[in-house]
Amino acid sequence: MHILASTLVSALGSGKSAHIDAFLAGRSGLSSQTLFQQKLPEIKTYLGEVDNLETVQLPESLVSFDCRNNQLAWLALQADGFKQKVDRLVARFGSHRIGLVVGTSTSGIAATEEMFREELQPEDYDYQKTQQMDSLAQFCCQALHIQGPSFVISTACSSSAKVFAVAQRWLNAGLVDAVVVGGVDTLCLTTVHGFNSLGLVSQNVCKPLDESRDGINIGEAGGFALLAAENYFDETSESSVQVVGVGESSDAYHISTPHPEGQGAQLAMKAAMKQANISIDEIGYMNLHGTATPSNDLSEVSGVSHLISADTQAWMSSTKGFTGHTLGAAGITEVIFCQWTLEEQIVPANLNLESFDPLLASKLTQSKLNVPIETQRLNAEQPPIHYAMSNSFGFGGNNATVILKRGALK
Amino acid sequence: MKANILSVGLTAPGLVNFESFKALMLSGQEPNVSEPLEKYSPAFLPANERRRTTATIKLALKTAEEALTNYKEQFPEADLQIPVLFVCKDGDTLISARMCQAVSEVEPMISPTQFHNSVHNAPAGYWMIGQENQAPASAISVGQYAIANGLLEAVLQSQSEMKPVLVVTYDLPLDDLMPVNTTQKGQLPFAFSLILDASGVNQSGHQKSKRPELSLSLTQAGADQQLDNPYQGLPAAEGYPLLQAIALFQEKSEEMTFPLNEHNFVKLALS
Repeated sequence: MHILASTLVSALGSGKSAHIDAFLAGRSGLSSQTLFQQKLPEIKTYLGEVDNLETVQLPESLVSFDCRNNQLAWLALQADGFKQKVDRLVARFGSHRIGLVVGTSTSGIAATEEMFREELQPEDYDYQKTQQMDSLAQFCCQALHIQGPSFVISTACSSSAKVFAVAQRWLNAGLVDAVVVGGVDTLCLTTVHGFNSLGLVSQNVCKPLDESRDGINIGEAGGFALLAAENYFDETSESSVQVVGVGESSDAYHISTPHPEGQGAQLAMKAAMKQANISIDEIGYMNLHGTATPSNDLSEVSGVSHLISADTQAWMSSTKGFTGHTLGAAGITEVIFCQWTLEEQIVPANLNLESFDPLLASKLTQSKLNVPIETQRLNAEQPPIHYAMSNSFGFGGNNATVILKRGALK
Repeated sequence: MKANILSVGLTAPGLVNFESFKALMLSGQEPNVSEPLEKYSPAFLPANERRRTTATIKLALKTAEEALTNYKEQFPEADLQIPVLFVCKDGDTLISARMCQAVSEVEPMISPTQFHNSVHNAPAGYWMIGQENQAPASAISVGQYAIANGLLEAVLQSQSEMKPVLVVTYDLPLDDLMPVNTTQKGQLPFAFSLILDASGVNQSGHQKSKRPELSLSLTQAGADQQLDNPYQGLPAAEGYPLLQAIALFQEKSEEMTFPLNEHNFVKLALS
């Protein structure tokens, strides 16, 4: 599948250039002093908040969908001219020939939180258009005038990686000519308190892969990609990147703890590589799920260690130190990071890494995996990155891996 | 698109399983919708996990288990590591309401079990653990358009994975604790499951006779069906006419249409 267009809004900013700038400057979007923290006096942590999100106005026709999650969706649809590109394809193929599949873990549950907290009037609360799990798909279909097949995937933190598998199935079956995939998850009290109850929230800025890592920082993000079949040629497409492999699996191990050897993660990576018809040695960049919990990073790196060889020479980083863990939006966020890595030949840093966990390092000694402390802009002497891989894992032992390929250079 | 229907499961008030529904249909009787849901405990789960399951999770697991048990009986040699798709509009609203209530308290307290059970894919997670199944598992929400979008996804996944797929469509009324009007709370729970095979692997070597084949196609022409459905209300219950057609299947069924969205439909037929 071709990526014809994409868009992303996170704590780093809105659109591609804001994110690339933050990567190159090593500037994190995480803060311990966000507006949302005023609602959370009990919990000391860092959050990845999108500035001024609460002030986003939805258009009159969509105002009944008003909630933080759909506000972020709307913001993301406007960024980098994404909506206009979708509009053009809708006009070209017809609204019933475009599908939409998006991921979220908590939808607009913040609206129901506000009801219980008496911050929202009953007449301003519409469950079906806010918290109901398919609200994001309803909202986006109406905003984009899409009338093909559509639904929300909600498999916790793998949600918006799995959307790529659905898009493949629809396009392969010829049901649609293009698919909008994406994911949006926004800060809400239930997730911060919930992760905190599991002892998974760090009081400090999160440190993926670090010896002293002690949990996640929760972030919010909204991102979308417009996909078309491989044989579709769009002269206006700005990207030459293709989705060439998607792998899905289950741990069948524990409801909230990953398998210690990353068994399910291995299955997902293998399935994606099989579909892409490549070996792990062809992958130039791995964007890890890398949440910075002790168990996730150990499980994931163990999983990777079972797949690599002495010839594996790739960059590897977790970008959670930039954005925080954006949960149901983590998949789309990091697949888009991989897209930009391939387009710009820039490897995002594994931010906040001070002392690489020796246990993790010991698992990788046989290979030449390179974890960048600073964002790398590859020069002409360095081997170019042709394939990038993104991992996303969620509660319930739900795993997805997406592999992208750089097309012919312009 | 075509898929063989290899197995069926059904749970609703007055319906303990698909076989009892079939017996009712064949004798021309109506289910008694005023009966409560049958009690159930997922015996296939380790005790620790079993204890943590909620009413919502149990409804999904019971209905999944019925289809898998039938499947195992019919195909003792079959690979049971099959992908699973759970389709549900709201998830567990008792848990989400309790969590939202908890964060309105002066000292917010959410339990770890409550939190991990709150994810939409909790039934999928328990199912894969209980079945020791590492195949892909998904959990989707399609609001009122569950049947068309859910069946389409299951059939396409079976085609691409070259394996049968278990699809479980389940809905419960919104919990009383939810701050919504009462009309959304009085509806009847309903769950059904199908093992669909679009891979072709199970099609040879078995008599075609009693096993219906499902055909699906997209259409822009269709209409909301006004059929007699004692469970009408929640999206999963919209599958009632399909279940009726499977129960009464002889050689060929009438065509049915299910809305894909406001303007488009999926046409279904059994043959």
